[in-house]
Amino acid sequence: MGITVYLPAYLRPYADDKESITVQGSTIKECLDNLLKLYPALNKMVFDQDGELHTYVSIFAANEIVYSDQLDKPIKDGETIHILYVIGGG
Amino acid sequence: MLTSDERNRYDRQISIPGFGEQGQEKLKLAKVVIAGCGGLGSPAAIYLAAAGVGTIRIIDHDKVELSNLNRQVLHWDKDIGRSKVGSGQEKLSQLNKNIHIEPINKTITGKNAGTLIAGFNVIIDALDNLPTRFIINKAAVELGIPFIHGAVYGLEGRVMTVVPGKSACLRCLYQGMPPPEKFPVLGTTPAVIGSIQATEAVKLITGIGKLLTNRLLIYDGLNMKFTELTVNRKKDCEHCANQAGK
Repeated sequence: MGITVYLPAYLRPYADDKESITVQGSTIKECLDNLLKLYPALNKMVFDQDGELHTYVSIFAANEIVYSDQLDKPIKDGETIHILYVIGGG
Repeated sequence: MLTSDERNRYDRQISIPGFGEQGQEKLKLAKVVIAGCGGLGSPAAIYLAAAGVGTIRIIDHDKVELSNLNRQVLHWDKDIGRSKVGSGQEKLSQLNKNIHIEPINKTITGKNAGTLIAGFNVIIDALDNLPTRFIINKAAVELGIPFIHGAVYGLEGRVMTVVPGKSACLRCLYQGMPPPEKFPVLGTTPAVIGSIQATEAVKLITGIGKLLTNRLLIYDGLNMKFTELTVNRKKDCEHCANQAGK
């Protein structure tokens, strides 16, 4: 089944315009790493040069926010991850 | 106390279960700040004025430009070159003569934010940039004034209500800012999000319904779906970690 990762409209051009991608992994970080292997162009949009989550990117697992120091949390097969890139337009 | 004219004008919302004349009186006495008089601020201001919010302060330092008119429905061709708050005041006052519109033609800064929002009941975040959103979020949290965040990009919009000391704030959601860039937007996106912000403001003031606290609502117009995500208070949040009720 795998983990479905959802991307906001802003990041879809970096992943062949896909809204969601299914990946495998037992932790949130593992899922993100596997996503970035499939779509390397996403890497610079999500992580900084030191491999840390950008401060303007938020990650949600099973619909709940997880902070950068919580990415090693386990995730269950069938759950979802949402990657949010900040938007500020009005 | 409502006048007979007001009872007639607001009859359709007074008759909403749980709203009543008491709810309308609360709106009449309420003071709402709308920070930004553009894409989000236009629908938010129009619906709050129509609903009978007694005092609406609109803050913006910009002048109306041609490129604003695809989405900023308070401003029309004839307003190009005019201050947005002057244009907004004219339309809102014509929509509802019984309410008070306060136009503030100023740039919101870290120094004046607290003064601009002090004494108000609710703040609508209808800004077009992140640095000022963070300034207002911080000031709102410090003064304990509920803050309704909204933002748009293209056909995507996000909205979340912040009740200081009780729910996650904007800084709990995002801790930093990407490089600034021009954002694309279809006018219907801020129409959707600004209307939700106005709905949240009415609920906050009247005490009806369940607020979008600790809940980020995402509107995806391209796929026409709404997603709700849970945002918990960040223990070491720079803006709200020291607020009571944690």
